[in-house]
Order: sequence, then C-alpha cells, then structure tokens
Amino acid sequence: VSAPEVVAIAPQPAADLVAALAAAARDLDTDARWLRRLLLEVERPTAAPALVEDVAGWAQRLAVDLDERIDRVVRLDAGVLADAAPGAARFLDLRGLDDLDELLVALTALGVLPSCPRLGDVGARRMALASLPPELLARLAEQAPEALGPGDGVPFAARDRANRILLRRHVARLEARADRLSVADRRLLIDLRSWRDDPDLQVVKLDAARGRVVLARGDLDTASHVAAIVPGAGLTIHGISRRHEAWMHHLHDEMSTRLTATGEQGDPATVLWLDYDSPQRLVPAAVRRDAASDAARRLPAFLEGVALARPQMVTVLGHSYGSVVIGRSLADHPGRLAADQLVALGSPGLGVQLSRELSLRDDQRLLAATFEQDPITHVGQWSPLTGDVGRAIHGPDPRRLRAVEPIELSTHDLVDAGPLERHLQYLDEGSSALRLLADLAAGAGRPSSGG
Amino acid sequence: MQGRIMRSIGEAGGPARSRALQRDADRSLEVAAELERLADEVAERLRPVLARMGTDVWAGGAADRATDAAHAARDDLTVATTALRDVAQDLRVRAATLAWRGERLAVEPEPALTAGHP
Repeated sequence: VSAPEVVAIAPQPAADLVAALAAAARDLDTDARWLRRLLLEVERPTAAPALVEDVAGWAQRLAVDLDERIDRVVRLDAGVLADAAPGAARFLDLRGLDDLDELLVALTALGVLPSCPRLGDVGARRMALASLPPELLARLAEQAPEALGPGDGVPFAARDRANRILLRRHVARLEARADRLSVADRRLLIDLRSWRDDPDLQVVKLDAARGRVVLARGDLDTASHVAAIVPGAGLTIHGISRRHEAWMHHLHDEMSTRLTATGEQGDPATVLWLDYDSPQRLVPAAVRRDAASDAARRLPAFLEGVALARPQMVTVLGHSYGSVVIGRSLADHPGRLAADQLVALGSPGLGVQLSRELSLRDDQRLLAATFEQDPITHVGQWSPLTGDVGRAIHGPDPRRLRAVEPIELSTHDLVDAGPLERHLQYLDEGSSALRLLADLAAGAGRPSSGG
Repeated sequence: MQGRIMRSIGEAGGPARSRALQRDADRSLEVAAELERLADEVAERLRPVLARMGTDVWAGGAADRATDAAHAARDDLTVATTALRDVAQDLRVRAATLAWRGERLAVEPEPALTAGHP
C-alpha cells in the first residue's frame, strides 16, 4: 500500500504517529516470525504470517514516508504558522492543494481556524479567511494558488496574488514553446503578459485550460461602486477582444470622473467577467441557453463575494448574450444575484418569456438599453398586436418586459460601420452611452435619456 | 521441532505412548493459547494508530486516501487473526482428542503393546 500524499501536517501528533507506526511495524514483524514457527510446529501453515508481514511492511513504509514529509515541511515552513497560531507550533505543506474547501479543512485540522466554515458557503469562507493575518493569507495564496485563486469569498487581494502566480506559470509554459505556438496561444501570451505587467488590474480568476478569466480594474476589496461586465458570444481567454477589455477601463475611468465630480467618497472597480463558456458561434451555440444556464451557476457566487466587501453599489451589465446570463441567473437562482442594478445592453432577450420569471428583489433594478440601429433588435421579435413571442429565440426584447426599465440611448455619436459595429459601441470610449451607463453605475439615479 | 506433535502419535507404545499423547495434547493447548494471544495482539497493534489516521495528521482528500489505506491494512489483519483463531480452535479439538486417547491408554493398555511383558 503506498503512502498517501500529505497535504497538511501537525508536527507533534505526526511525530507521535511515526513512532507508533514504527513500533507497530517492529512488533508485527516479530509476531509474524513467531507465528510462522508455531504454525510449522503444528503443521498448520496458513497465510496469516504473510499477511501480518505485509501489514508490518506497510506500517514501516508509512512511518518512513511520514517522517520524511514532516522533516521537509518543518524545514520549509518553520515559523509561518507558528506566528499565526501562537502556542500551537504547527506547519503547513499545502503545495498541490487545489480545492478551497480542502484548504479550509486543513486549516481547521491544524487549529489555525477555530472551526471549519460550512463548505461551499461564500460568506463563511470570507469570514474565516478574513480572520487570518494578511501575511499568512498571502503565504497561503503562494502555496496553494489553485485553491485560493478561483475561490469566491476569498479576499480579492489574495485572489489576485494567487492568480498572478498561475498567470506567470502559464506565461512560462507558453514561452517555453514560443517557437511553435498556435495563433490563439500567441495572442493569449500577449494578453497574459499585458495583464501581468498591469498593476492596476486585479486578476480575479484565471483558468486558461477552460478558457475562462475574470479581470478587475481597481480594488474590489475597497471599491465603493462596482460594475461588472458580462460579455456576450465569441469570447474566450484566447480571444478577449481589445475592445471588451477596453470597456472595463473606459467604464472605470468614467465612473471615477463621475464620483469625483459629485464629491462622493470612494473609488470604482470594474470587472470583465468571462467565467463561462461564451458561445463561439452564433448558430447554433448562441441561440441556445445552455451556456447562460451554466454561467448562472457561477455569477451569483462571484457577486456574493463582491457584496461581502460591502460596496455601496453593484451594477451588472450584460452585453448581448451576457444579458441572457443575467436573465437566467435571476430565473434559476431567485434572490441570489447580489446586485443593485442589472443592465441588459444590446440584448437578444433575457432567456425568459415573462417578467415574473425574473424574481427581482424589491430593491433591485433591471434596466435595458439597445441602440435602435443594433441588429440584435431583430432577434427579440415581438408582436404588439398578438403578443406573439414564438419567434423570439431568447424571449422578447427585454425593453418590453414589465419588470424592466428601458433606457434610451443617444445615437448621435454612433459610428455606422456595419451591423456588427452597431452592436458593439455601448461602452466605447467617449460615447454618450458610456457616460450614461457610468453615471448609472456611479449611483447617479435613474437615467432618463442619453446624450 | 517441526511436526513433532504429529510424528509422536503412533511412534511410542503403552504408557510411553500415553504420556506422549498427553504431552502433545498439552503442547497443542499451549500453541492454541499462544496463537489466540498473538491474534489478539496483532489485531491490537495498529488499532490506536489507525484510529488517528486522517484526523490529526492528514486533512481533506489526503485524509480519505490515508483512511482507505488504513482500512486495507485493517482488513489484512482481520483475515490473519481469523485464520489464527481457526488454527487455535482446531488445535484445541486435537488436544482434547489426544488427551482422551492418552487417558484411555493409561487405564486400558492396548494388548499388542503389553505382549511379552511378565
């Protein structure tokens, strides 16, 4: 039997166990030899001595392996947790641990946390991890970046630290085979280096293998006003468009200007949330709701993590298929979307047919804005005479739902460079639409018109 | 030592055979008791150690793996101790049989074994 991988070690109990294992191994070995003699004497050979010898060997190997691990851990991590848990000198070896709940169990087993938070509970995680000394949390992020990086409820500074480790590793892997990278990977390498070198970014999640990334401009731990953009179809980590990333920056800058102008205390943070498998083709992927329903399982937990940092206002802007994600989040997880304002931009529909499916909280606003020239208006077909929504792929145009406040956008500065372009100018730099949406996200109240 | 008890049966004759049978019966009982004692000890050797596996040393998934390995070891020991107790039981039956035969020979010597004596 091979010894299990040790992820967490408390030295004294472990040393005691090593001694007990070694003693048991010696005794079992002696027992086995004596048994073999006795059984031969009475001419009753059985497999018993061999089995006992096997167990003795297992115990001996386990003792040696455990002893080596303790030695390694103590040499590497001496002092780190002793500072965090005075009176109980304990040490951690968390390398290779990639699950946040396992990490919390390990911390509890070692006495670093007084009790194990309810597993999967974002709020309980936040409370537990926020109670740790910052330097310990930073050390944990370095030791177990796979566990802390994607963990909703983990303070965002720690997530950023962990994800930047993952980011640098991925950059190194790509650079190691730089001469034979695909076009997509070359593009990804450029983006990763850009994010790595940008100190104003928080890398909130990075899962290159699954094509997912969440970036923030500003500090989500301290921001007073947060705006998260859920982009639509056609994006992956290999194809984050410069435009979508720029939206995050433009929105941040506009919100900052607005907050300064109104004399509000606080700073904005903006997010590009691509933690889902954005449909890569319009047909058939983008006409289905699968990706949105899948995304709806993660968006509420992310926003819960944001809300735990207690910003004054959280706004989620779903662009195009991203608005279907918002709709399905509201419909599938009633009351769990921790946002004050939800805005559907250029929406093909919210993935629902009726307002009552959306389960909005009383204090929650759902708004929708679409340029009349945006070809997406043809997707959410709706007949005012018959009420027929049968042809609408993702439900009716959200502006026609009772629960939705429509926003009128000025189109005087819209650049008409083709149908797709008319679908992509909602948050472009300098546009009146961007200013209006930034005002909204900065808490300027209900907008009545753009321009 | 090997096979001493089995070979002794039938080799001696008369009172000598009776004593041999009794000695073998006694030795069988001793070995049976020793096997039972060892079975108990073997089963107990790791019990307090196994009880700690996965609690104060390992955590999370590693604890599960450690516990699985400990269960496998415990299963091996259970098979071994069961086999030892079976042998011990067999030896006790044998000891009773040998003792009974020894007693019978002591009071009713077999004719063939006493022929030629005055």
